[in-house]
Amino acid sequence: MDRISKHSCPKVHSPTDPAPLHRKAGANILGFVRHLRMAEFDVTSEDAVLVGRALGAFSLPDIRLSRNACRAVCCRRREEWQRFDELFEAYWLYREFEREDESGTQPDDKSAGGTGGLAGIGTGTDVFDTYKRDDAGVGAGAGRQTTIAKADFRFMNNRDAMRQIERLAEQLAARLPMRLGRRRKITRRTGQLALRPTLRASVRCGGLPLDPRYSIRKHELPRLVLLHDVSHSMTFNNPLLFRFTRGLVRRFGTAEAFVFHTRLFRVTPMYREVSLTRMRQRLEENNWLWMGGTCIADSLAEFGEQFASSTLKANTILIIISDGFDSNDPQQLASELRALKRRCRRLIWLNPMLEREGFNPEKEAVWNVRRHVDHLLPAHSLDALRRCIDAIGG
Amino acid sequence: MQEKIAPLVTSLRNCGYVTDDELATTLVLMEELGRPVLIEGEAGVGKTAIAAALACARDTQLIRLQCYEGIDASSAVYEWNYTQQLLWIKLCEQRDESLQESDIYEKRFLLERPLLKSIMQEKAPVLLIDEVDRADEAFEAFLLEVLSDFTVTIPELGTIRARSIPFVVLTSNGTRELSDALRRRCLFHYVPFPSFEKELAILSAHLPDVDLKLLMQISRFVQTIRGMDIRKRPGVAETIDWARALCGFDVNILVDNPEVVRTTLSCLLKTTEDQQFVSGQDIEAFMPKSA
Repeated sequence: MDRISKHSCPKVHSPTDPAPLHRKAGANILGFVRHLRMAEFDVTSEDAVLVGRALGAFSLPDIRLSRNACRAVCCRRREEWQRFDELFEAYWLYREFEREDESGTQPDDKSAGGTGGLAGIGTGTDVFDTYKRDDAGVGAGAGRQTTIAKADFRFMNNRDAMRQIERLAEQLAARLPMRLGRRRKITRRTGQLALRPTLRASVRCGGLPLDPRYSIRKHELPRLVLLHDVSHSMTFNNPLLFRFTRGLVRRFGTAEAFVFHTRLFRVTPMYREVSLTRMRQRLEENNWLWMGGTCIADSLAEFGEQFASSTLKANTILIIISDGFDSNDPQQLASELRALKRRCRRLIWLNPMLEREGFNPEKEAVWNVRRHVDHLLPAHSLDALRRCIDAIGG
Repeated sequence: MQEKIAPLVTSLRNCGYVTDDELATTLVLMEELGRPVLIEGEAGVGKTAIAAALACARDTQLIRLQCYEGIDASSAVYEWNYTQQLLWIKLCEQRDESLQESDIYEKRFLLERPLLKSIMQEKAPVLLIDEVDRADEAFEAFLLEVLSDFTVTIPELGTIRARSIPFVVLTSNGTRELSDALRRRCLFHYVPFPSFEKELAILSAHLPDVDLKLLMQISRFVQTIRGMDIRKRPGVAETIDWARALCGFDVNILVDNPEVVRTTLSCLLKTTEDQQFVSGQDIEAFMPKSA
């Protein structure tokens, strides 16, 4: 009992005495707690007080330590523990973006307001509010899809919305072969009349075209190789992009998938798991996969040395999914991209940061390598992914 | 609080437990907020060792309550020493001394079990409630009561209040889903399998005399094994055992000693299926050619 009175009492802020906690900070914390509850975290009011106490205990707020402290208080089980970082960053990083906007609006006021929504996300909750209204039956139908299609993956924290958009991403991926293949094959069924085969078939009928031949487009499966950046900076983009890459890998029997941060790992067998739960379990079991720094150039070099000879063919489409934040030298990255481009049919870079507010590609290394890839495309929303599909299919 | 985290990481490291500021933050919060911490993770990742290291770092006593199926309050809190009580009664009868009921319920006949012992200490000890998921739900409910107010009521003696609040560390392997009530009262920390770098640091701390290059090979090899589709993936404890076994065979480079690696794999793989599965693989291909 002595210990408690000695250490804890000076920092105890009871729920009825909010004075020690700055009002704005309190609103932020409440918004964050609501944000977690929306993600089906079982966070009580007492936990909110504890979060306030824990954060108030840091004399110099450090985002990393704050995250660790909030996680210890708000998580109850492993699944929550593993999802927490993503939710934390989605909430607090978005606030940073809003501040950078200098729009003069006060997101805190909105998050502290009683309307709720995805509290703390501020203006960004429009997407979810619309989605929730649609769910309630008002304006259900096409309206929902339009909203989700344009929603940024970064704000997809609502589990239902996440599932919905994941399914749509997979469906998009599954549509890919319909847009591919320019070769034609000869058939006796309807299609475009093929003159030469018809003439050849007419020979045995004395020149009469009794057995006409047609040509139809041949849907050849492209050989896809996906390199997916799973570094820390990609955290809030990845849940959706994983489903997207999984959709591609499962649709194309010859596709290969790799993930990288500072090292490269082959994940094709995991993506081919029929059960999504099992896939997630296998990915999560390999905790070496996630949340590291980023060495894109080194990872591409590793891919070039170990896997390129077995996976890259003349008809291969190589897709790199990364935000382009790289700790390697930009020149090295350019050199690796040049080398890979020579070995495949097309090199496509999907960057979830493109077309996002606050991201200036002029200043980023990825802009310097634009000339080394065939397409540099945004991948931050379903609409963007649809454009990617068009580009890949084209 | 911030300034307490780095020193705790250092203290834990000095006590042989390599960790980062994630765990240290949780432990500091536990001390500051006076809440128990529930630690979950796969077997062999060092959950129990956290409590031992914390006791060492805080230079305090470690009191361990090992939970098992059927554990009850008498095994966890206190018991009367009936043998001594009977002997005392006999002795008094022989001496023709009068005996009150209160005489046989004195503290000297009280056997303190871990929970009682932990609140009777002058200096706050670390109370480790190990594998709490193995205990019954009834015992879990009893624990809730004790952990909420840190008092124990003994009918014959009255209510005993805590002299100091212990640092309570609960561990669980997930064999049973714990109640929400217990989870709600605890801070939570999940211990995953360590990364290559962390495992290397752990090996270096436990085996300081072993060549770093060999430890790097071992760590990389174990990381590969963990990535396989096996039933029971090796924990840190298994890695340390295996490293010790390899040192016993004077192995310096794994790839030069494939037979020794094969024969000592039993240190890492604890089920026949896993051993057969890994033996069936081309394990030499997994061995790093160099550190």
